Amino acid sequence: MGDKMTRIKRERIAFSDTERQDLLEKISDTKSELKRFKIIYNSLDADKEDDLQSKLEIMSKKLQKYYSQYEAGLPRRTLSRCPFTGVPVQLSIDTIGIDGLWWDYEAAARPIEELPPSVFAFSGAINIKSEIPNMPFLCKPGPGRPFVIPRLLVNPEIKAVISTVKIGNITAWPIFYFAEDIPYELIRINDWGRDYYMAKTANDEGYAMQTYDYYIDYDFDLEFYIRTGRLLWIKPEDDEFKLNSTINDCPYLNLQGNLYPVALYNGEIWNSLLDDESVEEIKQNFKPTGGLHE
Amino acid sequence: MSNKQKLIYESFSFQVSQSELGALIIDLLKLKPDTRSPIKAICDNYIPNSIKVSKNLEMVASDESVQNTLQILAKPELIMENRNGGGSQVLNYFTACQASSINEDAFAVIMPSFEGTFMFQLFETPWLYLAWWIDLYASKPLEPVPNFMPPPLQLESLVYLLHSIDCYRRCSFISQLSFTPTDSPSITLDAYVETFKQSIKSADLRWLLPSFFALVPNLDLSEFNEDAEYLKSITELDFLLPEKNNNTNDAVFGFGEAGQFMGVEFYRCWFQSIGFEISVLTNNKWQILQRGFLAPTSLANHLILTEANKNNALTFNHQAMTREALEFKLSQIFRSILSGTLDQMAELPSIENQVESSSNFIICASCGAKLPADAKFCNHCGAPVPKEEESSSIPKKPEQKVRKCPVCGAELPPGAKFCTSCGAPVPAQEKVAPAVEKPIPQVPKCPKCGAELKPGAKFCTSCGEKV
Repeated sequence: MGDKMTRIKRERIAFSDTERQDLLEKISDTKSELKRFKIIYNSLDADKEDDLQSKLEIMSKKLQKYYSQYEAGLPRRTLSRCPFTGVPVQLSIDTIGIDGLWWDYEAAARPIEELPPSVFAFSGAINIKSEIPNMPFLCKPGPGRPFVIPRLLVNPEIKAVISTVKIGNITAWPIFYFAEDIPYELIRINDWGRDYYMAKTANDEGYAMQTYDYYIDYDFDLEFYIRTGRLLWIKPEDDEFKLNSTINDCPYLNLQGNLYPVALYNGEIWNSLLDDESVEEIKQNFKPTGGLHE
Repeated sequence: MSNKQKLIYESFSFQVSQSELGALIIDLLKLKPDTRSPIKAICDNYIPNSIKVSKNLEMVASDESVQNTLQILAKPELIMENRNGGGSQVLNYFTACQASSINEDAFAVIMPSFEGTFMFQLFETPWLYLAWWIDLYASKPLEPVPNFMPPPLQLESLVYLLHSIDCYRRCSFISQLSFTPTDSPSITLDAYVETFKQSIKSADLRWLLPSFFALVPNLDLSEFNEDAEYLKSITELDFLLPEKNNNTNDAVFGFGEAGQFMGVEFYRCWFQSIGFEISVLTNNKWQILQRGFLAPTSLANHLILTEANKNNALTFNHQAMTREALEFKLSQIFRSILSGTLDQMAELPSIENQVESSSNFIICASCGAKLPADAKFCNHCGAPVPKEEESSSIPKKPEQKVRKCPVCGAELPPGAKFCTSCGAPVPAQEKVAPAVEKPIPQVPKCPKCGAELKPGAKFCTSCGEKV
């Protein structure tokens, strides 16, 4: 069954740019229409609700169909490689543009699909330089340079891998955390660009959970983690996704970019609601590396 | 001559001379070893009733544990062949067997001992055997180190990398012998290739590459490709770097970060290695399930496992492991083999329809949005939410803060960008990080059998359950 599923996923043809744009517009239009209908529906007396109920359901089904088409049309991309098993990690992700619903922070349209069992968590960062599209949803694709979360890497079972992927013309850095001996008791991190994560318990039961890692918990000093064997990296545009373990030629060190996770909404970029003074205060009170540097 | 005593790991052990072993197995216990039995050759060389059986041997033969040990070794259903040796140790070998039709859990071991004798051991469970094996061969590194040879590795890449590690020591020795101290040893390409050819033929266990070839049982090298193309892995992974010799200006290889690190590591703190092969009897056919090589140093346990990629070509997985990681990995392999699922290790279990339903938020099955637990429709895509009894596949979240409109104070649904009461725009929710606390460690006990566990144990040494 596993082989068959894999084959189907590999053979799936992603939608074209035009098909995707058409689908996104249809979804946006239907959502607006649905919203108007719901306002009317909510204002009706209870005895008249049935009249609109069926129309609402038809519209809802149409929207679900579009969502399914969007998820089914997402390109399936290799993003990383497990440092324990050597298995490449493939994921359906909207690499055509950050305006796709995959990037909707509060309602990310992502097919439920299998990742290698050693994937513990995944996050990412994004280098936003150019003008961002005017998408009608909140998008939080991470800070402007690659980072790691020390509270995860303080566990000797966990290793991280940083790689590069293009989202349209934007450079992004997926950051996957792997563990073969999974520390199930450890709270993970929200999936990249989404406000919760999905994982499994030790008993193989799936669950969803939300975490609140703040940017002050990020560590951008990647050299330390590479030197201590906790972080590996993959060269940009390496089709074989070979893992590297030394700092020699590592393109992810000393990158410039926003330290705060950016929020994109209606064509605007938001950094953080905290002023610099508050950030300094928090920085002084926190040990960002979770004691690893000591 | 025979000897019987209790050793550590609660294993039963006894020692028998080669001259008496045939009599013990054939004359006294009437056993007929199978073709793959590790005692088959001994029995084949013994002429029945050719020696006078001593009373001492008769007493040994009457012992139930001795009988059990030899029965397992005579009719094995699982065999783990082990070969070990190194700079401070000559080549040695031993075989461990299991026969579930004779004893469901026990592992029996036979190893040549001194003065022409054989040592036998019987472990009550595979986990006791594994603990013994790990204690014999694994080191106890203080902390994790980088894995400079990350998986997957092709055979060619692996052997060139192993030779590069040896080359560092070779260069250091040459430097010492010629009284020319250097911080940056180097080797010419010709010298690298020439010593490589000598090394693979040498079976000299004082060097890493020959140890790998000599100790991993039945390693198939017929597909080894000497194409220089594979040499690029040694530069790509930062083992050797092309440079010019300072004195002669000749093109040489210097040692990169990885080459220096592992070169020094294996030069200074590596003493022995062990290769192993595990095969099982399935439907009257022997099937090799795992081959491996362990080279412990004081910095890491370097475990190399053979694997097959999707094209059925041989690949290798190297890991630089702490002791705990090694214990976990080997127990995982054992568990998979014993449960007959090793060849399914890469099979991914389905997450669909297995998500837990509990607590206060649910995920829209259509668009993935988080919704209040009592939602009837998705706020984002409008999809109807199945009733509780229909929605066992929909995960829920234990906690969800109620957001309120900053203008009118009305409660807002999760993800709302505008107040549904007054229409005011709602700022994106900023979340404050609560302290993440680790669970307080408790007295470690096996969840299955209740046996007390050693601190840091990854599996129960009583029942083998992963903890």
